[in-house]
Amino acid sequence: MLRACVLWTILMACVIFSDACLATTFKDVQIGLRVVDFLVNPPLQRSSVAVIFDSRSRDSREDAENIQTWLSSGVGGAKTSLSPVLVDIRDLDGTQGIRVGFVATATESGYDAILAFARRNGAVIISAELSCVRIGKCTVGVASAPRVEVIVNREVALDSGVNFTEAFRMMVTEY
Amino acid sequence: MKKQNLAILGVLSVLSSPGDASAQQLDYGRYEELFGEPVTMSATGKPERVSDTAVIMDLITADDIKRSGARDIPTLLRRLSGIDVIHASPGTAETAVQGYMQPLGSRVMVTLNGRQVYFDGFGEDFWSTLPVELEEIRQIEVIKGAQSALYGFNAVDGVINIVTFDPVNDTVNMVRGRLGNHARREGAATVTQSLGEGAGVRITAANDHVDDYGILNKTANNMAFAKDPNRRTVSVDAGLTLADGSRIGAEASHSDVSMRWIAMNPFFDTRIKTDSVKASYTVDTSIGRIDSTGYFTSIDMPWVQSQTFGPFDTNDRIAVVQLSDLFKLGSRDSFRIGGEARHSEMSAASLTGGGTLSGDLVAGSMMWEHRFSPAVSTVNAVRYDHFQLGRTGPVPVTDPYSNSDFDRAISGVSVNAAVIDKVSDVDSLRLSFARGLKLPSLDSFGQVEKFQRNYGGFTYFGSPDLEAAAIYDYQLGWERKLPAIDATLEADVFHEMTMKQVSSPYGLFTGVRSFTSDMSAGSVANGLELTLRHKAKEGWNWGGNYTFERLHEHFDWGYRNALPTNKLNANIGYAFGNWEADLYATYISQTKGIVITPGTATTRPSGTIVTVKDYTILAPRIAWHATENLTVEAVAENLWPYQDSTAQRMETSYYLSVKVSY
Repeated sequence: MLRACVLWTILMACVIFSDACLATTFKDVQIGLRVVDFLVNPPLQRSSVAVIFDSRSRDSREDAENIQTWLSSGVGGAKTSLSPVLVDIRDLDGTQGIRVGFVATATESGYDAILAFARRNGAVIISAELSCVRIGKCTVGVASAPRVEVIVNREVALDSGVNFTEAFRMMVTEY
Repeated sequence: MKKQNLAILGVLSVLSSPGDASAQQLDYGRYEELFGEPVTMSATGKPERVSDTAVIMDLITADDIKRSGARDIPTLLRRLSGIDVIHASPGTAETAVQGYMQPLGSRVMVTLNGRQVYFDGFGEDFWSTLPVELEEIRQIEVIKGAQSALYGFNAVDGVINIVTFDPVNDTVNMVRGRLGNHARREGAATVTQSLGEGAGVRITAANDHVDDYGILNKTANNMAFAKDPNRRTVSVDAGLTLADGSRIGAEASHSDVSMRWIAMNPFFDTRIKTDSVKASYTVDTSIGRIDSTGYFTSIDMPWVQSQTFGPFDTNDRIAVVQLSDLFKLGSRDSFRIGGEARHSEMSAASLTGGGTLSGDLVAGSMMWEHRFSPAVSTVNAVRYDHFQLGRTGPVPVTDPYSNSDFDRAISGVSVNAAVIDKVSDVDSLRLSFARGLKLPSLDSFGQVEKFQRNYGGFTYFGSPDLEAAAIYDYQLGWERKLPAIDATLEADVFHEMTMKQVSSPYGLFTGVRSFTSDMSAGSVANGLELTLRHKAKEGWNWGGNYTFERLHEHFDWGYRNALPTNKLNANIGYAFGNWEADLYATYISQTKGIVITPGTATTRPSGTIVTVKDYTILAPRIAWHATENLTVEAVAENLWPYQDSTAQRMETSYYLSVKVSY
């Protein structure tokens, strides 16, 4: 009974404060960074990764800072080590030479800018919000629960010149 | 196919890889880290997560092996549902999947990192000759049912693929010693050495000995020639990842094994020397992922002391070249197009009348996977095999066949089709159909078996007119995750029809008069498998499975349908701090077997059908991780004696292992 009450409370909180419940987890970041290893031409070690957020959203900024902290401290298991840089969605136009983007939560208003950034830089854009991938704005979506899911928007990937190894493509869900 | 054609194929397989491409060999470890579960390429020929595969399969992981206390692979396999294991001696075991246990005619394809470890001559898998230690194994993949469309002739009951750790990305360094009763003394060492960025090599050596014991079929000549099971192996596995991401692999191994080995009831003592080299190249190109592999295996039996045939020697050579292209079209369809060329030959002095039997095979295959949705996908494969039989050299005077009779071809089509539907977050349904082909062994085609006088004194001939037997296999599986107890429940049913099979000379002892091999009526196997398992590194670890199988053979050898109907496995274990304790129990119901009694000066040899009683195996283990590097393990392989064949009694066996990992 007690467990049911707790679950119900969490569920209601998620309904009311949906952004808080969609925050990127450490596991999501870990999966996202590992995905980079399966690029046909992965970025060089210690290249920059753009942690993209919406400065007008507190949830987005906090989520981005968490992602930055986790990436800075090193994510176990990934071959590629990347240096995180916080990038506001309004600064994406001026951002060049970054080939990996990690999208923080609550950045829906900047999805078009994110897609343009991906095409311009040949960048792979990773998000824990799977809807970003499904509507064709992000390249890779990751989810860590209830089981690990990796989805790839094939069209965005092709438009951005992002290629994954054939074996990887066969193990993920492509749209 | 001539040898020069094989060489051309090998060259083509390397030249086919464009130079501007990049790729990597399937990196099992990295994919497992990404998805949080093992991945496989064995089930359908394409890389996939085990939970996504449409094929019903079992997986033994490195963690399972660590907690098993097992010394060998057959012991691990016996603890799965649907697997039968019988022992021919303390050092050998025969394994079968889904009910068929026949000597000298394995219906299971065993591969080590994709290399078939199969003695073409006798159609047999000799487990003890495998140059691999359990500590090197990342996972053992067991795929049940016919898989000929992926693996070719003989993968008709299932495939067991052993995947070792990657010498480039995984480090395995260990020294292990083991002492036990029956004078058991075993030692093994493995060292992995990085050769720079993207390159590495692993070298393993082992030396095992145990005194022979448990012979039930004691006769004067048995006891005179009985040998202790000894095993010596050395293997090298190396990998190199090039700047463009392509991957070169190279393996070489040698094993030298002596053992007693039983075909039904009479036995052989033999020494088997196996040498193998393998090279592979994998690259991602604009037309997909190209895999090319070539290997050569030489199996020599410099002496065989056969109770029924007297002494002989034999050798077997196998050369295989494989080339495949794996690619994905669009977002839902994956394809694999493959080709294989294989040459095998067997010479066996008296057993082949001094001649050499050979088989040349070419095959083409295609696999197509379509994903209807993230929850529903289907995989379909088809393969065409063309086998050219041949015999050269002297012909025995009494042989009814000339060499030209062996100039014939056998062709056939194999099919696999499977579908998976993840009907909910916790439920998956799997349905599969397969048509497999079982090719007779070279021995069955061309043997010349001159039986000893006390075994009848007659001559039995193989027949070049034998055919490939079709096997039809249907499977339905249901898998349900039980989050409340962190466990998985599986229920599978199968129905397998073997349309024909090769008759055996041993039918002679049960009154079936035949002096040449022939295709006899087939059989039907039906079964149900239930598995419940919970795996955890800490705390309780438990599981169990039950198998119900019935075999109906249309051709009566006098002990037909000889198969244990009920099999039960259970295990429970607990890990606490530096300690682990586990208990494995097995119950196998009774079955039948044949005891062949040699004749005397005044009597003829005879065959008697006997009951092999039901038995229970209890195998406890306790392990202490004294330090991060040092593990001490005490294991009882079986707390009391049991008998799983008519000829061998497995005595109580226990041992102590000390392992240093670094």
